[in-house]
Amino acid sequence: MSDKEKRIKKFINFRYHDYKSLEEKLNNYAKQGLFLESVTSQSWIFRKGEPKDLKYTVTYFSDTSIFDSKQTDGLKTYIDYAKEYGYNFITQAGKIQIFVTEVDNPIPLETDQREKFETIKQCSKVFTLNSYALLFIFGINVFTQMLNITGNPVNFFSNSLAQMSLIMMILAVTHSLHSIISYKSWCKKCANSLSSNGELALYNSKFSRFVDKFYFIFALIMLAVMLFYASLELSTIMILSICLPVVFIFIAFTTGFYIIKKRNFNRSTNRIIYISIGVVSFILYNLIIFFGLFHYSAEKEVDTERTITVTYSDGDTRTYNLYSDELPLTCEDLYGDIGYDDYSYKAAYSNTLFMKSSDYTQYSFEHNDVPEISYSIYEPKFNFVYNIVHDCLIEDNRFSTYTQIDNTLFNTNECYAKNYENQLAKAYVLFYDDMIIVIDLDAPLIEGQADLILDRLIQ
Amino acid sequence: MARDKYQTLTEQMFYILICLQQECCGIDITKKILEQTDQRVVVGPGTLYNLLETFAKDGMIIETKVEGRKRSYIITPKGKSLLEKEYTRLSLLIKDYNSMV
Repeated sequence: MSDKEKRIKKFINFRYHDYKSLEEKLNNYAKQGLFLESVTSQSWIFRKGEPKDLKYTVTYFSDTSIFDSKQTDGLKTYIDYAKEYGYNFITQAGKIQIFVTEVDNPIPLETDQREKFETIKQCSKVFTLNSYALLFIFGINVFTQMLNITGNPVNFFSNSLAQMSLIMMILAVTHSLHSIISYKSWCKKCANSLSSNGELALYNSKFSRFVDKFYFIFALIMLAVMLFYASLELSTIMILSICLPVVFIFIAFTTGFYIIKKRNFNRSTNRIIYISIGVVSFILYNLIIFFGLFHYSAEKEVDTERTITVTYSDGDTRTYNLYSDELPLTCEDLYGDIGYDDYSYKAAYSNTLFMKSSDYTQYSFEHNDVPEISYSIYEPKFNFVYNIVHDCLIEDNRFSTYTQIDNTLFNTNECYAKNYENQLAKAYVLFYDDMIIVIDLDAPLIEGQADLILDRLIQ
Repeated sequence: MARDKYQTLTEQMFYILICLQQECCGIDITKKILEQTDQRVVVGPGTLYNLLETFAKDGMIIETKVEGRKRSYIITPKGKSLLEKEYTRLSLLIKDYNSMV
């Protein structure tokens, strides 16, 4: 067996203060012939060998850091003390130190439960701070997303990506909350137990592992679905702009750790190197996203043979793709032959958990004096969605007001005309049993157009 | 924080401070405690290291000698007063026990 074949990599999930379950796991691996050798930033590396009955001990040592390239003097002394009692140091993962012994009934590494509890709390400070920071960041994200939803619920109900993004953020918030609550409740149980001279409380690791697995699998599924929806709506270059930097940042951080371990710099220098890598990666990530957004269209590329080059007043010229989608109602239907060939006919469909929607537009990039039209058909799947969309679509704002008009015009349950300042109504919101239509015309309705709209849009 | 920590001493804390009335190096402390207590009180190496670090940081003991990684310590007046306070507390407990039981 080659050296590579003798080793096996594993991903081990455990809570920082859940040392008991980690010890049991390592003991069981040893019984199966797998012996922990080292811990890297991504995996735990085991050496294959003859099964043995070993006892692993996980301890916490506050005077170590992930930024240490070699063992500190304090840790070396700690290891010396442990050796005197038959414990061999295996490896460390951050502030966690892992020892192993073959001695039967060994003297525990830590015999003072109160001291052990204080050390764990001390070492968990970064973990709790991280959890609070994540809770704050994700909480702010959920809050801003909720503000956007209340501002434009129609967009939210018809946008799968927005819905999934919110679900992901809510997941992240609840997971951070769970981490904090479970740690705090463990601390409380320990404090109670210690006050009556008891042992440190056992952590409910099975439940936590289940929660972690559930969140992990759910998040992976959501990410895959989000990527699928993004591929339908966003251009390839945009998806690459989003995904590639994540890979790039991962490589940058892994390389950072590698450099830290290989170079014999002190903790502070390593910390500066690592933070610098983080900052540079973050700036590069944002530059790539910005570059992607600025130079390339965020929307999915269309395979179209029709393009138009528009020259603006400042001499700048831009070429646009012209869509030729099938629209159920066009300006030509409403106004007859217009004699303009550079219209873009665009249709967009979405079918989300809450609503099915279709958006149609016929527009001119040159802004010639030719009529344009846009309309949307919404089919809410739940009553509450219908009601929210209803209220949102007829809410007055500083640009326009809505007046209820006669239902006979469009044969509706409810019908509203949208009035712009000092202008005759050119836009209507039509409410039917299961459908809402918003239509924006370029000129007020003339005789026969309402029947035509009804005929084309209500199947 | 420090006040809470030293309000009552754990057995390990108490015996380490007793041992350090004379200069002593880390690992020898645990051996001394085992002898003194007929193997009743065991101080694990992790606990020993952490307690020595905490005591030194809080000025209860002072480092006297470093030979390689072997460090020796001795109790300070502050540590002695803590030990006496604990002795008084324990004596009171015994007195109360004797008068009540």
